[in-house]
Amino acid sequence: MMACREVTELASQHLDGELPLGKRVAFRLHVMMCRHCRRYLRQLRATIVLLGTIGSAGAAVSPPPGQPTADELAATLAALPPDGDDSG
Amino acid sequence: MHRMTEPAATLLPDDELVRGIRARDARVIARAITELRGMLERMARGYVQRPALVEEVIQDTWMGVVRGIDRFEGRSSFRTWVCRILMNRARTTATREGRMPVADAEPDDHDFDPQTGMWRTGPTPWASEDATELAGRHELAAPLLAALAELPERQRVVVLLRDVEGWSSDEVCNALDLEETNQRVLLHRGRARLRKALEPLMIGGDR
Repeated sequence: MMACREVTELASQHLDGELPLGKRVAFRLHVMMCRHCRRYLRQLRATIVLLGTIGSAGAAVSPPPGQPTADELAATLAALPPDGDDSG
Repeated sequence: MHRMTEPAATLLPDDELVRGIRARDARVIARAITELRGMLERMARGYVQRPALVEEVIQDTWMGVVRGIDRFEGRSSFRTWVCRILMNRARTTATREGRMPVADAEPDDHDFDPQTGMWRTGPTPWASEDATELAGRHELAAPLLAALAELPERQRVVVLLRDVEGWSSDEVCNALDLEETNQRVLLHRGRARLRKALEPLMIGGDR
C-alpha cells in the first residue's frame, strides 16, 4: 500500500490532474481509506484556491503617493537613448 | 488614488510591445508598466519589504527592460523576460539591504512515522476546509502573502507565478530555467509549506 508520505508528495500532481497513470490506482485506493490524507488534500486544495484569489484582492494598481506614476516613469524611460547602452 | 482591483490582462502582443519600447513610445511603455504592475509588485515583495524598496525594484526593472530591449529575442514571452530582469534586480537590492535569500530546504517530515511513512496524528483539522467558502474570506489574503514571502526563493516564485498569476508550467520553467520535474517539486513544496502556514489561522471554531 502507498504510504501517506508518498500520497502527500503526489498531492499537487493529483490536484493539477498530472498524476502519472501508474500511480493513480494506488493513490485513489489510499485516499479512499485514509481520512488524514483526504483532509490533507482538502486543505491543500483550499490553499491553492486561496492563492488564486490573491491576485485580484492584493496589490494596488498604482504606485504609492510620492512615487512616480506609470506615465511619469514611462516619460523618463522614453527619454533614454535608443541603443543598448547599459553603462549608466 | 489606489484602485484595489486590477484591469483584465490586456497586455499588448509581444511584438507590438517590443516595437513600441524600441521606439521609446511613452504610451506603450506606460501601458506595459500599468499592466504588469500587480505581478511585478507581488514578485518584488518576496525580496524586499519596504514599499519604497519595492518601487525601487520595479523602477530598476523597467530601466533594465527599456535599456536592454534589443537583447530581447522573443524566445520567451515578454512578461517572462521582464520577470527574469526583476528577479536579478530584486536580488541585488535585497542583498544590499542585508536580506539574504532563503535557500531551498527539504520539507520537515515530523508529520510521518519514519518507519511506516504513515501520518502520526494527521493534519490538524481546520474550522472550514471548503475551498469555495474560504475563497470568500478576503482577510486571508494578507497573511497568505506574508507566508509566501517567507518561502525559499524558487518555491516562492514558482508558487506565485503558477497559482497566483496563473502562468503555465512551460512559462514558469522558462522564467526560472527549470526542468519540468524540478518545477513540479518546487511548486508542491511551496504549496505544502503554505498549507502549514495557514494552519494557525484556520484552527478553532467547530471541529
